[in-house]
Amino acid sequence: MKEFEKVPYRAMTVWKQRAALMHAIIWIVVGVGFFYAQHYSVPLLPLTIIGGLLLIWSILQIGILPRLRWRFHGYRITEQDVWLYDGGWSQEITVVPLFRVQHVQLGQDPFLRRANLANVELETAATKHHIRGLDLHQAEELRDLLLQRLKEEKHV
Amino acid sequence: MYNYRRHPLVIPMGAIRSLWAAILPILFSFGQAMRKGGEFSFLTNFGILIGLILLLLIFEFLKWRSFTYEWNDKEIHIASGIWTKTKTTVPRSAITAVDRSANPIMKLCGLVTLKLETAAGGKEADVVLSYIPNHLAEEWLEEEQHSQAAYRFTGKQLFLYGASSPATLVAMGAVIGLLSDFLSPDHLLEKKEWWKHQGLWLWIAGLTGAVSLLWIIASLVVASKYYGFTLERNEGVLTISKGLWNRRTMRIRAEQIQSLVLMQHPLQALFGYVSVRAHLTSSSDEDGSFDNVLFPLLKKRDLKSWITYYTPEYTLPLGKTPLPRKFQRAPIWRNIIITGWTLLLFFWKAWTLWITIPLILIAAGLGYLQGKTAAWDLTDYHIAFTSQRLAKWTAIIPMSRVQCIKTYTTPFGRQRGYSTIAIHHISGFIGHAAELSYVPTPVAKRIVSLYQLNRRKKGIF
Repeated sequence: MKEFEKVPYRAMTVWKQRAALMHAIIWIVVGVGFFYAQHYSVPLLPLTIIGGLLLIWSILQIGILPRLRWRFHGYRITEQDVWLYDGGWSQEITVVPLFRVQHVQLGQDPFLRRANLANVELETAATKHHIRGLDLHQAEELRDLLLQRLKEEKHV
Repeated sequence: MYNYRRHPLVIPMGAIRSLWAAILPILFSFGQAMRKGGEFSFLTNFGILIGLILLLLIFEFLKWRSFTYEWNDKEIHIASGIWTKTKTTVPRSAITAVDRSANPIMKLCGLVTLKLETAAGGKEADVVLSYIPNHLAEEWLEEEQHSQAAYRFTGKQLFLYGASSPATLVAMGAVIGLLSDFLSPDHLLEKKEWWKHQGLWLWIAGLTGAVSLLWIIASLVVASKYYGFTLERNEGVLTISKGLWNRRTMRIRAEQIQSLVLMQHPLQALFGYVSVRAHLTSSSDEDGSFDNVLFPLLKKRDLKSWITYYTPEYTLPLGKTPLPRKFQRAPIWRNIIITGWTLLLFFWKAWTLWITIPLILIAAGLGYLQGKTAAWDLTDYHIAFTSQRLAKWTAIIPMSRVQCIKTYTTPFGRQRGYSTIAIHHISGFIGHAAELSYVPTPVAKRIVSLYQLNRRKKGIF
């Protein structure tokens, strides 16, 4: 039995691309820093430690965490609630009652647009919730379904 | 634009407040000038300062000229803005909280500052009318006569509250941090037989003295803010007034309260007191926290009667269920690991070695207390969590106020069967939640399903 609706596999690729871009920028900045550190003859040991930690961090962010998150990222709609699943290391399950939802919003960044994906954002009076990297059709359907359910729910 | 302007006193007072906000850079630049010893540089600074004051005065004057207001039975109108003109209209029915304050200068001139909150969240007040005549404000607010049964503070309680207030602790922590950064005893500890050096003991004595002095000052400041605290209930409206120098009167609708938090600082626990705070839809308390103080101090045995009189929506948790024994020790290990990690970051400092064992013991003790006190309580109408960091707290959230429930599980938690449960409700702090860790996963699931059953039920009062 499928417990909840997962996001498509290519969402993971998008997350990896985005993380790779971020880390490329970080590495360029760090590289420039190292170059100047060499110029001012800073001892090598702390630089190596920093570089090593950064490398581990990059591998985690690009190689491991997107896959972990994809395995546990999605949503489920029941009669009165939206259930949201999110997590990499720590897994998070959220229940949002439909009558608490105040607005639903779709968002796309360039990476997501290219892969025809979208983020869905649910807002209650207290919090914001995200479902990241849904297929655009799926996202629009979800939005319409939510709005329809909301209307029914408010009439009760 | 509209009929009324604020009192012109707002112009110098506004300028003074802006200057006070920039006091550090000003002092710094004067200090720099003094150090160089050049007469010219000092004079230049003085000239710049006077120019700055003039500019501020002109700016405040323009602000004062452009700010006009008016109100009638239904709405309040405000026009403001020097460059961008803004017109604000707030319907009176949308106002959820009113906050009046006046410092002695304003009292002398019969003036008052009104802060009006609407249900829109966030920390800042939505409408601020400063330096308006007192009689206008009173006429508009239709002040009721004081009711008989009111909560009041005695002098002894006031000082206990000052001494145990969270604001006091924050101030002390900041000073200890600053001191140990700028006047650190590192060079003394690196010597052989460091305990024989007088300097170190002097340093410790100095630190103790500075901390206790600060504690006294901070307690007095907090005590002056809460001087003459009264809380009255008039049908659905709670009125809080407090303050020695700046007298504030806040009016809150009781239905606006989203959750209650009972806090018990160790010092308060010693004398059998509890303080009660409330989360509102939008907060305006001045002590830097996002919840408002409802009762600064209450005797534990009186708690129930006061709370049921003032906020009948809330009942006290009756049957607390503690964590199962096998999870009670989990916070100890977590605290030890976190402290160890933090100390590893300072491995090259000489004091690390001497401080490690006591710090880890303290962390373990706090973890033990947290595991021991952590408990939950569920009724058809409420969810209540109790736990302890330094102070013991209990959060009571009505089912009908919950916005969403989150459950977190870490890999260890999944293996051993515990999770963290967070209950979100509306608060002045966006994203605030009451959290309880190391709850057995089946219990967390039961809390969620109970919530799904009872979320539309409200208690009968």
